[in-house]
Amino acid sequence: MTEADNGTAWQRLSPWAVLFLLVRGIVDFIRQNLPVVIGAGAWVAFVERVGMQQLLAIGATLLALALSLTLLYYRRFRFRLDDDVLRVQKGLIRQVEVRIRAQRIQQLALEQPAWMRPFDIVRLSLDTPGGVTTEVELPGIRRSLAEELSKRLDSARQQGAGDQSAPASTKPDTLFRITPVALTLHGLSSNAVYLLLAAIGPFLRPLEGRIRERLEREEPVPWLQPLADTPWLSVPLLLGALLLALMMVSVGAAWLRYFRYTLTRQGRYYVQRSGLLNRRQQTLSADRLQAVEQVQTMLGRLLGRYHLVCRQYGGPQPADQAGRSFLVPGLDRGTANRLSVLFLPGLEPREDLQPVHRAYRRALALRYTAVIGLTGLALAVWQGSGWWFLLTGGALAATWPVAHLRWRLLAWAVGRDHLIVRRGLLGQRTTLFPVERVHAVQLRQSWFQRRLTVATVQLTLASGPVLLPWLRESQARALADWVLYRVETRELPPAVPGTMTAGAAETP
Amino acid sequence: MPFSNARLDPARLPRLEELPLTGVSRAYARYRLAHSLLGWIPALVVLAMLPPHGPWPDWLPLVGAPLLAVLGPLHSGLNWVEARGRAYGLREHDLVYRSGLLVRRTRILPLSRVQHVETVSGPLERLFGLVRLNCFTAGGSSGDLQLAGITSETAADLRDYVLSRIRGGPDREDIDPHDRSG
Repeated sequence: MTEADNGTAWQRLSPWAVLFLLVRGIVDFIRQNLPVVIGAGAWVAFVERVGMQQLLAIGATLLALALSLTLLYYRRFRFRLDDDVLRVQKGLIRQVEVRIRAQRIQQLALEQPAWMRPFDIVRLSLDTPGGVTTEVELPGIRRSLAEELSKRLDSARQQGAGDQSAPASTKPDTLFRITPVALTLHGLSSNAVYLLLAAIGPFLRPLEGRIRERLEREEPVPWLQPLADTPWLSVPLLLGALLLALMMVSVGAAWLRYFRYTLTRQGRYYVQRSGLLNRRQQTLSADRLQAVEQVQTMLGRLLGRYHLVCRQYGGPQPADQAGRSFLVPGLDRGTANRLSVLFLPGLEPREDLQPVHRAYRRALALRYTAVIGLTGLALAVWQGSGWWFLLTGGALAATWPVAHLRWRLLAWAVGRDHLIVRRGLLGQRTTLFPVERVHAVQLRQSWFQRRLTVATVQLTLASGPVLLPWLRESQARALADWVLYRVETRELPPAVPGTMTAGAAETP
Repeated sequence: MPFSNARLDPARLPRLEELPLTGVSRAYARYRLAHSLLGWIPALVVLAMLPPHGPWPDWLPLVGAPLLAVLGPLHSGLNWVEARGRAYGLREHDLVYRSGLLVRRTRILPLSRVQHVETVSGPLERLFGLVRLNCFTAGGSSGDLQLAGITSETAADLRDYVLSRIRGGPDREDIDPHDRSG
């Protein structure tokens, strides 16, 4: 194998990467600006003012400029692997060199969009602990080179971790493979429906205006006339159709993203592969794993579906941000627990979670009441309308049930060397983590909490803080002492203090 | 170096509440008072220089001045009281810092988690002989600890001790930061 093949000589991106960079730049630009421009109607005003020909000329100039900059970026981009250090030189005006040691890599991803397949090129991206965005991206290199680089980096990482028993060539052990039914259920239960609704929100009003104008201009459609005459029937039907369409889009998105999802273990690394058009491969280091979250959306609770989010260094990320979170979709309860135990050896999934102090429910209700009451009062006085009083009254009536739901779902349990914290309102999220991963402990008490002898405990992991609000003060202190002992001595404490077990669940 | 943990009894977890905390330097309360009062001065100046008639309501200077006269000292006074309640403690394996007046926070940072340490002091802090000791962890801002209101000597001793623990070097038993809180 030559140096060019194994990445040890200076390498350039594939020429096709120019196309990829250009397309991605244009798509990003459109994605960032289109809702604002179209939603506000500014686009139409701009076209009318400038004229189509001038607009095309501006577009062509901008495209030529973007192409020139992309070509320049391509020419200045090169990379190589020096032993266990990946060096990347890039930059348009300012030339920078990024060096990443293999042992620092916490996630490595290979991605192949459908249009890259005929050219056999892939996108390789690397994350390191503490990085907010993807640290290094090689946007378009030959698949053989990417696989060789990936293998060499994995090998260097494992040697760095002192794991000689599991070389990169170890046969992968399949842990989970998604079925079509599970994938469809994941799509149905996904929060993508709400995100989609929020994304198309700005377009709905202009669209409704256009449809209304058109209907007023044209002859009424005979078969639609009965619906137009019965709004009590047409409105629910329209909403139902919209919801159905969104659900279908959500299921389609799940199929695109997680088609043939497979999770394997290879030595100290977890590897997932998925995607219909855009084939993606992500590698997660077991050593960098901080916490596992079992997530159930509201619909997921109805359908009994879970997904897991593996949290690494670098703070919380949006649940399904492409290329960042390591997400395992389409699970039932048993599989979610089985995989959680595989990710966090020694974990004992618990059902007997204990609630926090019930005064938390009162505090939440009072907090909601104060915010809603004051806002409603201010709006009623400002607008001079009695409707605001009615609306505020209705919202205030909902504060106690909402507070009760939040209190009921907030629960925790302590295992031999793990902590489990569950929270939510309609959906729920259960965080499981080894106590030894805690970086800092904070005890917090407001004046109100001091009177009730309760306290809030915040445990900070490298992936972000986990909050345990409103524990009995003695319980909170015992928990803090227990966690600190575990972190500082790296030994298991003699026993879980009695004050922290479910038997000591709070009674006011 | 083998892990040393002589003070700990496995049969009984060391209790945080048994740790006597040392108050921060008394100069810190004066610093917070001065800092807060200085912060209110721009608002007072703007209000004092407002012409009686302008695009703002006529009652603004009349109401604003007494309001500032009450809020400024009240806010500064609360800062002073809060600063006097701040305290810290050092154990063999962790650093403890208590702050807050209405919401009291006790933050405990295991020394093994500290990535790096820095000392910072602004001009006003230097005037009062104060330094902040920032201990950074891999847990991001919510995992970091900022120990404000200590003298430069205490900060230096604490920093040396923390660094010795990071390096895993010999324990600095000769250092007793509690003696120099000012």
